[in-house]
Amino acid sequence: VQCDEPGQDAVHLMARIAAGEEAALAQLIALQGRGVTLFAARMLGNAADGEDVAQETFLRVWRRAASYDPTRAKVSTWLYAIATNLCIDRQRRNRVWRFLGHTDVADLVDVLPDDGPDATTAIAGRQRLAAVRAGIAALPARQRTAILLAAVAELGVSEIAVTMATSRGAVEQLLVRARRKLRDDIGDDDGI
Amino acid sequence: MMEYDAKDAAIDAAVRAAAQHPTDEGRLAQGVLRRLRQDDPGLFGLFTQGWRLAPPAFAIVLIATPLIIAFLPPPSQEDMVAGLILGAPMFAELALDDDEVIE
Repeated sequence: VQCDEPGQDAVHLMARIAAGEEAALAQLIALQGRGVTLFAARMLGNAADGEDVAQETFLRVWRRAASYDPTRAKVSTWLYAIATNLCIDRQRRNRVWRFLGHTDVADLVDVLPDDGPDATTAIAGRQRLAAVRAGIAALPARQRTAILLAAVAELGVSEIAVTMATSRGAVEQLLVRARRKLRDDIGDDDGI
Repeated sequence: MMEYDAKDAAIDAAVRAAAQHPTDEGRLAQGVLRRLRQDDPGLFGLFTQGWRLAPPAFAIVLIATPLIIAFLPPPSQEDMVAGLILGAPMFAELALDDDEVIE
């Protein structure tokens, strides 16, 4: 997922969004939409919720574009900070819904890597994906956030620290623990 | 400083692969712009900012409520209004009186 934007271009886009230019918002979505959607979907374990959170993220960007300060954070960092907070809100709401007996029926569409027509390979790939997804879902929330920001959003440690409003050291710890737990969950037989 | 080795890279690649699913940026942009226009503050910006209540619905409520209160029938007319609502013929009693006069 390409998340790094040519810095000045993204800042320029933000200025145009702040001026009320919808075309600039559409450009930002084209640039960052996929990354934010994938991040939110995996955070929430649900593609429909992921897309809804991505929409809400860009709506907030539209409303708060004027408050964006390029000296404090990159556009992508700011964007993922908004998405992370929205995911946390949505997780809380989903917990309440589940407590009230509501069950989610929507789930992520499993997409296999296009690694050949061999059925055995396809099944193995599906099982591996399922194992990784289960491993991600089983991570504590902050570890999951950190590893998804690193692997899916491709943010650096400093950017993740800004996004999660914590220190670099804390992020490093979260990443080490998340990777170790995933390695344990997935197992060495997967070549990891 | 955190060490980042090949195993970490492999885990990150696995997470990245597991996160993939088809996305449609065009649909996402359309959805955002549609919600953005729904949320257009318009006349009642102070009240509708961030709300999902469409401004026309809000305006109807604002206008209709005082009208209903202003034209609410006094107790003496309540029976007539109830009759109208239930489908009873208007001025039925008056019509009956006329008939009586004719007879």
